[in-house]
Amino acid sequence: MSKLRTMTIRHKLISIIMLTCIAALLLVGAAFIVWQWTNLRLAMVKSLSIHAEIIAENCKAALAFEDVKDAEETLKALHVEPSIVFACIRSSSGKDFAHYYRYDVDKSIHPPEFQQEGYVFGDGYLTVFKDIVLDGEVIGALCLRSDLYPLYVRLKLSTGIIIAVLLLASLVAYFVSSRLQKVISGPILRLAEGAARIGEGKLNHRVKIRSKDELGHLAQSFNDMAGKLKESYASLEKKVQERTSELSSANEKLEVEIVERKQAEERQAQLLEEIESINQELKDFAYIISHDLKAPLRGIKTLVDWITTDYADKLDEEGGEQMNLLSGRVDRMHNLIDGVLEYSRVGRVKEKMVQINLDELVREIIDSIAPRENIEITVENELPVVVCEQTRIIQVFQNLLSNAVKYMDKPQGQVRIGCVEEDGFWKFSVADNGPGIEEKYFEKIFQMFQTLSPRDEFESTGVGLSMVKKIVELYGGKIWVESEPGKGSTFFFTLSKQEMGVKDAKYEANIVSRR
Amino acid sequence: MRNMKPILLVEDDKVDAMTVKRALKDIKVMNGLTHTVNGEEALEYLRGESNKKPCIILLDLNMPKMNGVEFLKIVKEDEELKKIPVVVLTTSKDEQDKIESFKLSVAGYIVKPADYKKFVEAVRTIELYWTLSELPDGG
Amino acid sequence: MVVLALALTVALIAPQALADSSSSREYQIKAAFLYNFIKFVDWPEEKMADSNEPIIIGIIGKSPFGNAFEPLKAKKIKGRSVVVKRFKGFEKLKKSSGKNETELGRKIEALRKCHLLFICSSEKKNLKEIINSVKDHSVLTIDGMEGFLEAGGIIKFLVEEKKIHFEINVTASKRAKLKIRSQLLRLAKKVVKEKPSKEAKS
Repeated sequence: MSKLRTMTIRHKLISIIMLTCIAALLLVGAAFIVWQWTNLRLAMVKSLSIHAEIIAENCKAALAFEDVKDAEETLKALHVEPSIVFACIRSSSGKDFAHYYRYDVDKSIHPPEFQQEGYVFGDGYLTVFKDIVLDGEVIGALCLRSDLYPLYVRLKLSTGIIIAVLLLASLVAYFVSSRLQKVISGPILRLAEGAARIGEGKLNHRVKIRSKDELGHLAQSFNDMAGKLKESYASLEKKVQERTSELSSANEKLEVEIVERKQAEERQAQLLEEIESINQELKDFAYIISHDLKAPLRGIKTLVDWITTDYADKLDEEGGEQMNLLSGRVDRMHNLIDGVLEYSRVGRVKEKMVQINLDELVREIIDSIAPRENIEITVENELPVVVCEQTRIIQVFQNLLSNAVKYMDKPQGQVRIGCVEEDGFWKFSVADNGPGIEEKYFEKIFQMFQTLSPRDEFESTGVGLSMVKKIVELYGGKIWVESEPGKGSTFFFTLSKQEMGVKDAKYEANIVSRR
Repeated sequence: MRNMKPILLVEDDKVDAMTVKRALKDIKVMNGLTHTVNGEEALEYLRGESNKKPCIILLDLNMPKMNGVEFLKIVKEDEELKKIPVVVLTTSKDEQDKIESFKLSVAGYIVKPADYKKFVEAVRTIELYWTLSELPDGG
Repeated sequence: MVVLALALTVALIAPQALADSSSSREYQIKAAFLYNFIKFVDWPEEKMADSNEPIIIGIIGKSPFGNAFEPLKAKKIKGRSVVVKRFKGFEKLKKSSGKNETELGRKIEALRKCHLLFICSSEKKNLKEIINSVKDHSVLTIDGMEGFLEAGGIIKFLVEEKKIHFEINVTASKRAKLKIRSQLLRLAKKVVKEKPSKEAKS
């Protein structure tokens, strides 16, 4: 099977034609031989039957008159037919009457069983039986047997001839087919070659086949295809060039972009570094400030203290007053430094975000503030659990609460802390029944170093609220105040739930309360 | 103090120095007080033959020319001088300063209280402690 | 039937004596032969014209056949039945007819009507006379006597070595306008052709 695949078209065609011819010839030959065989047999039968008839006719008298000699003489005539091996006449009584044996035949062979008139092929012999009828009466029977030698001879001859013819015919077939196959293989090979050429890239190559048959059409289609291929190649090339130029320009742009981006990144890194270093500087600065600015303050305080102690007798009331003022100023300075430092740290110094149960925290803050007996601080409803920087939230509540306490002017001070949920925000409120604030100052109080009362009345750095504002805004919230002078003030501030990062208050409460 | 050896105070701030002196006076410490304004001077004094070796050094950290840590380093290198107990008396709460000081085997680290009265208490504590604590002789 | 009869006859020939009163084998075979002769002899048209007429086998004289013809009676030859007629000896014939020529003529006519005429050995003296009387009438004369053929008889039986042979006088048969098939002639032991000068005189 694989051999079949590797054969060339030419060989295939020749082989096909040859095989077809040979097969046909073989068939014809076989048919012929069979036909001849049949015919020869029949001829043989006919011939032998004729012999039998003649002999039978001639032996009638001999048989009727029991002349064995005469009968045998008659039978002897059969020797002219060399294929007849045996003849036998049997009388109607069933007894053998006369025989003939061919010269080379063993005389002891039994004559065959007499049958009805007819012929039988068997054991390589043809045996014919003929009744001898005299005047309508069967007086005996004749049996003739001949070998099939002539048959075989004829057959051999026929077969020989047929084989010879077959060979000759095959030869002729070969020559003819090898010439004629070119009609098919020629164009195919040309097509194959054409395909190969085009495959190599010679797109101008065309296949010339002039015949009007399918191969001609194929060649036509092939050439069309080649033409189209050439066109499409050309257009593709063009397109590719266009794309390539587009790509390269895009590439250039990209490269520029990349360079720019890199530069930007570098700048960013640089900036970050700078920020870091600035941050560090500020940190150091803050430290230095807090430390070195405070140092002289300490000295001043000490000296004031000593002067007050050592020269108490030399100081009059005014003197004492001045000393007090001096000391107070020193304290103020100290607080201002701390406040400013603290303010600056908000947002700059990032702490860890932790979960804080505000209920607990606020209670702690209230404890630390330790308000006077006449001031009552209450938490109105359950405060949520939030996730934020601890210091900051403490600062918020501490500032607001301490303010409320500090500025309380009523004999029964009441500070109420509350919280409601609103549009994804918590709205906290710190409400007092203090002196209240005039509307025109609602904005001002949140500014740095702003106080509403002279500093000597209520010692205040003026930093607190601005810091609270900064913290609240840092967490995406807002702070404002509602107040009625004389009645009290309520400070509101919102904290975004998302900023706070708490989803389920109760769940969170469980976690925090276990801590 | 037990003995009559002087106390060496290394402190640049005049007011702070005055505070120490005053505090010592308040708690009636009779030992003499030598005051130097920086580490260099202190070293000079300590190395000075004619000078009496102090029984305790009260050392401030932030000083010009030679600050406390530098001074400490040198003192603790010196076989003789390192026996003298040094108590750092400073405004600095800095953790780093503390670490440095204790690395250099200070006997104590006290942050100066802002309040004078508290300052006096601190000095008294030092005095009490060193009255109790014994120093090797020959210093 | 015939086959059996023939077989028996042939088988019995050797041991049995020919002198068997009822039907000796010899005469059984001869009877069969007579029948067979008919098959190989062609009579002229006039004698065979009517196909319904039987073929007549005449036996003149003292018949030695006995009932040898019995088994053959039913046989048909050439599509005709066969009849065996016994005739008395010629002498007796003459005597019985006396001076009556017509009677004699009738009797001779009867003889002439036979297709076959077997002349028994008892008619030896009258042999020629008999033959002459029938010789032109297409009668196949058969005998077993010596000198038969010379006398003008056509077929003569002879027994040799326990086998029955026969001799044929062809000229006589031609004279009798009988055609004897060559096959039969072939089988004859002797075929006699008279010299042309010789002529049988009755």
